[in-house]
Amino acid sequence: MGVWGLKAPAGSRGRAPGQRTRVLGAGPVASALYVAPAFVLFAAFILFPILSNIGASLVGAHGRPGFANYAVAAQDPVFWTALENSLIWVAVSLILEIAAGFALAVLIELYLARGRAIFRTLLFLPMVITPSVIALVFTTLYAPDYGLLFGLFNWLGLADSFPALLGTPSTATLAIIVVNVWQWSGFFVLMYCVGIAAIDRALLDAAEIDGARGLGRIRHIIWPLCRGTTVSLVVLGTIQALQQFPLIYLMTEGGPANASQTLATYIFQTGFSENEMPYASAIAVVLFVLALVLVAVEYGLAGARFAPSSRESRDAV
Amino acid sequence: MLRFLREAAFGLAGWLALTATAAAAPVTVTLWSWSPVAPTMAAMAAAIEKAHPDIRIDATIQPHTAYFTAIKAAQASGTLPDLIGLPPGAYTQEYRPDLEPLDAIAADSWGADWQKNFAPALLTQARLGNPKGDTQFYMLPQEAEVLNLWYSRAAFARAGIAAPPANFDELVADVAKLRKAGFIGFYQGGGTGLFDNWVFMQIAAQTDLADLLAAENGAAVWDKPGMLAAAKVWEQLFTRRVVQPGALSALQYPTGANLFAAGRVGMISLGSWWLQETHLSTNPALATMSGYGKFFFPALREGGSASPTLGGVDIGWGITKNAAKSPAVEAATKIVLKELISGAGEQVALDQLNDLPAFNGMQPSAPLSPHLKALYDTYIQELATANPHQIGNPVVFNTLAANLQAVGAGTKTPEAAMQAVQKVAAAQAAN
Amino acid sequence: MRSEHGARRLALVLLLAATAASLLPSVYMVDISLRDSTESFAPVLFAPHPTLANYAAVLATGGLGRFFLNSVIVSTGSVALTLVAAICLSFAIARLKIRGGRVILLAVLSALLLPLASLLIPITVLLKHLALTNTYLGLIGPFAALGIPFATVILKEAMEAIPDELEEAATIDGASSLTLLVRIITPLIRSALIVVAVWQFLFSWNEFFLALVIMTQDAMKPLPLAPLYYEGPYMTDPGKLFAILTLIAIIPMIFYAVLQRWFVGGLMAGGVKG
Repeated sequence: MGVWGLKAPAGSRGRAPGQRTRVLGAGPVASALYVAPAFVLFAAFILFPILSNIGASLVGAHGRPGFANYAVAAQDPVFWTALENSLIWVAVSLILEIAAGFALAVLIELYLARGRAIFRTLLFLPMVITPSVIALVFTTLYAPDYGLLFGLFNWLGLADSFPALLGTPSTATLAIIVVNVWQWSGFFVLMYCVGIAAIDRALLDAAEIDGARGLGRIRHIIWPLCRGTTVSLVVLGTIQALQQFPLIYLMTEGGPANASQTLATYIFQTGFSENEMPYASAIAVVLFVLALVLVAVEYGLAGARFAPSSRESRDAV
Repeated sequence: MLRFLREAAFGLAGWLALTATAAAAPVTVTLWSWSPVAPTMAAMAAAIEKAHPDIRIDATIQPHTAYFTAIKAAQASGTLPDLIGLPPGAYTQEYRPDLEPLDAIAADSWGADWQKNFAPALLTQARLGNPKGDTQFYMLPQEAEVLNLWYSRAAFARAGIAAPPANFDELVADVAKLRKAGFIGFYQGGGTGLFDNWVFMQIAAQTDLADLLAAENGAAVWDKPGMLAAAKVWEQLFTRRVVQPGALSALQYPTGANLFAAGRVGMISLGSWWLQETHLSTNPALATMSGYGKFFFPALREGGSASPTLGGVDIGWGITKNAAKSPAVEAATKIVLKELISGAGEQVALDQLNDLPAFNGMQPSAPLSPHLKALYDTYIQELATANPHQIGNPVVFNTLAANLQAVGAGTKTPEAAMQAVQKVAAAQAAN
Repeated sequence: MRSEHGARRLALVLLLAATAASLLPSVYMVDISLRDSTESFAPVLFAPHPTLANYAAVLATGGLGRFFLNSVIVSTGSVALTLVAAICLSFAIARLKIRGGRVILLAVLSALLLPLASLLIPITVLLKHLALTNTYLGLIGPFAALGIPFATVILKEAMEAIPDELEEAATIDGASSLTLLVRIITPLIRSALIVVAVWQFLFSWNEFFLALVIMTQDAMKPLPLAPLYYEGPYMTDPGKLFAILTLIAIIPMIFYAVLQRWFVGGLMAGGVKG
């Protein structure tokens, strides 16, 4: 299980509540004091905003309470575009990040004799660049006529067929997702490196003796053993993709023609640029519920699909 | 606990010390805006502080979207600064509940007949969207602007073009010539909704000025034949390759301004504020504007005339109710407002040609080069008769921009786009 | 053995290609910052006449230092507050086994799912009432609240991995729960603390939108807002703008390169056996 997995790992050394004797004598007052700092911050900056959002979303036309804002959303084509794009963000980001992250981590951990730390570090560097800088760099890189990508097309003699990736409705979303994947892949690589490094060497050697080598070893031994890391990365990647905001806002403002709008950016446009806070709050509630459902489904799938192989691997030990 | 007490004691002592010196310390007026650009604003603040040593100006200038995000949050939380920069219409109306009425303040500053100092069109725009019966001003204009197209003289010369295009077919032909000579013929920052709307409106001013002006004021007339005709011309900007490839992802600022300043662009839609480059840039072609000329959107038909002028208030200032937090700040804020509009502040802005002065009789303090003077004087004349250039409703504004982008991208017909705008505008008008 | 050697070589080539792709945008950024205004729009990776003039001009104008200082204060403060709050909460859940611990954990975790844009207005309203607008605490508080979910998950797992015997021994010695936490538990989860600290630092360092609405005075703004600040003045001078961008990006890169040993070490040590 990855260190930052969201669920108590089945095989961790910690025991489930109730199984262990309570050795510590901390009274209710002391316990409350330990919870207090986190509770105060949580209540102020998380709970209060959630409640005021739900409240605001129920303020309809002329201040009457109701679900009018949700009805408006159902009729609003831009809302549906934004919802679809949010799902595309999750799917495409995850597939590319998991694929690149796992593949590169395998190369680093299993096929490199030296220099592992260097690759892990260099690949991670995009993670530490602030999005406002990234947006300006990639906007320039993608730009027709003077950007680096155009330079490449020009050099290949293809200047006339250069695609304006950010300026074409069908490609704008994908072009920004690529930037997101570029930034986050290094993080996925590092997490898979950690997962692979934690696999018992004896287990790998045993597998090799059994004849599992090369791709077979990766597929049947390493990939299942990284299950915990994968589940955690899928959940975190989902949340990150749904939340991505500055890149879209700074690169296309959701355009052209709302083609790259996501729920996160549409909340911003309706609330801040169009001054329709109740409507924006309703979309925010939709996004929150969507994230909740996706994460629950991902956990459900992980439980159903990954469990057998993980038991297998434990039996092997 | 002991530490807390000690800190509290220190805090109290500090507070007492502050109050004791407050009488001698200068009064600070806070001001936020997106315009004028930060270096100009800094110079303006310095000039006002010099004229009033007892006043400090804490000015924050941010790009357009960031600024409006910040004041929106500040409005919700009651933390607006003393003075905020505002465009007329929807934005001013949005903040009206938090703004002081300015008529009495204006009368104090410039006399009972203060309104004679501003062109009537600017005053009308400043009150755009007031509820019926409310004749108060909540913002007073500092700077005005005129929309137009600019061209690069050097690029035109290299492409063998003698004069700016007189009609649409010439525009198409000139763009082709410029492209052949290695320039971007007509740069459009189509990713910036404001400039999509402004180009469309310059076209619509030619096809159906009456409906355009009504639409700006909130009437749902976007599906009228004249408006549709304008949308069809907008479509031709893309289908006849007038605007550059990838225009819909391009930004007018900073990219378009950059490329135009660097001499890579033949034509671009900007306005009177382009003159500010004379002070922001080190490039000689810009410092005197000798390399640049202006024209209006050319006649759509041969022998016709170019688009009528659109323009009006660029930026004005509102005093927020927060300024009344202390009499000293309130008094200082009024002084700063006056200096921004007709005093040391506007003088600096004008000397840097940030845009056109809204206050009558203001003059640049140093003589302008002949070409620059000709440009400036023409602008001042045009401003006097300009038609308003602001769409009042922000939802309609965004819908228009998105639909124009869809037409440009070929995903919507002009008919479908204008019907979509019409539908939204009608719903907004009914609200 | 030959195929093994070939596989290693192929792996190295693939990794070098991936790393080059990963570094390319940064190299491009640095290169634009080295161009004078006549070359800034050349569609090439390396312009022919690099110059440091942009950096000289940008550094002479100054102002960047204040952004850096603010970012350092806010990020460090948010790391400290997050650690304290999350250590206490994890301790209560993992070791004190307080009642409702699981519910608390789930509630805290749901905060990860909140759209940031929807937090802006309520948080600014609250900060105004607390008189925390334009103060470091006004950013540190929300950052810590947003960082606590992730931190708590990691620290709770790390604490659960500590054998009970250690705790029992300490309790028999008569140590209070606070002594236990400070003297025994915290040193044992050092690697998990490092992971949380680095993560929280990076999050705070890069956060853009809360900073935009909470830090409205120029003197208080952190680094992610600096590009907005310089976009206007350097509107027609991309070389200088990119010099600013490079300065903003390079510092955390160096910071991470220096600290990655501990960060990765912390990850590797942190109970990853599954």
